[in-house]
Amino acid sequence: MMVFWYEIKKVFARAKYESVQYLKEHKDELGVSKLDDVSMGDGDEVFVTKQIKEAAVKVFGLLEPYTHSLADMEEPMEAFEWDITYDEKEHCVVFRMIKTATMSATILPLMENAIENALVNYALGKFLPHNSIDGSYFMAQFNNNYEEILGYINRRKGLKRTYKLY
Amino acid sequence: MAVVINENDLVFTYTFTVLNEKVQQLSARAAQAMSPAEGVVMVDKYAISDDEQDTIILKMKEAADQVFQYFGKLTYGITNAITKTDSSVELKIKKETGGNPNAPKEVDGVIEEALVNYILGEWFAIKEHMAQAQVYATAFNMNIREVLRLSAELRKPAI
Repeated sequence: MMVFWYEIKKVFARAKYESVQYLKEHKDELGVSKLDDVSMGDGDEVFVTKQIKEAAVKVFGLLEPYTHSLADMEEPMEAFEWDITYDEKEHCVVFRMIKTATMSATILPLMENAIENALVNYALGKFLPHNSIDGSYFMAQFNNNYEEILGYINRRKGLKRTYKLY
Repeated sequence: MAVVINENDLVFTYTFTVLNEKVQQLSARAAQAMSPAEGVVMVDKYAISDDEQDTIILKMKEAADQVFQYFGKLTYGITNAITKTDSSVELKIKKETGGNPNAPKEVDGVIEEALVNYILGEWFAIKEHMAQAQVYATAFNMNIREVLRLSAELRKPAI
């Protein structure tokens, strides 16, 4: 079994930070940065957390085909859990999936990274248009992450070439 | 100028005494450099004196609103983030755990400069010396850009 878990507050903190970095160069007609007006602040946490959950559900949709037998395990497990305490950390989102025999174990850090990026980029892509800022850059990034995740879970070590062509 | 760095917040305080001294000195300097009208240097007309304290207090409070508004997002959850009295103006903002530790001092300096420039810009506008007012308005605008650039450093949360 593979488990991916993220502290929701940390995902929010990263989205907040990225919004600041992105918006500090967005200027109004007088050349003044829109940083304070439209960046993500602590007051936006409830709204942004909803977007993070939406992204998490979308990501779970990709992992779902590998979760069916979790219910048949000795200790049945939930494949997707939102806002739970995991590993003594509060407010976590947890994804669990079955690791098949031919699945490469080295995809773990790749998947971990791609899922976190997907959550952050989706939250930003949805948040910015509400502040009249084009969020399409982040949505495009999210779509990339989405395809990456799909690519990683479809890697099989049985197909790996063991020799070099050149 | 002063910034106090507490565990959870940063407090920026600017006293009337310090701001008044600066605007008095700078307005006198600017007035001295102006072309004399009727052969007389216009220091008395344009330099800010102690008699103008009420106007400067009024403009100091107005300047505080103009500058502090750019920290709105960082005041979330803080009651009375802005305090304005006749003797000082104060801003309290949230301290992000991963923020650049050197940024508060830089922000402090730029805020003070912005307050001074705003007061001077308004002062020369009142005195109908628009060219001089424009100089300070432009300087104020540059300060605000600097404030926003530096405030990005304050907003880096721990990831």
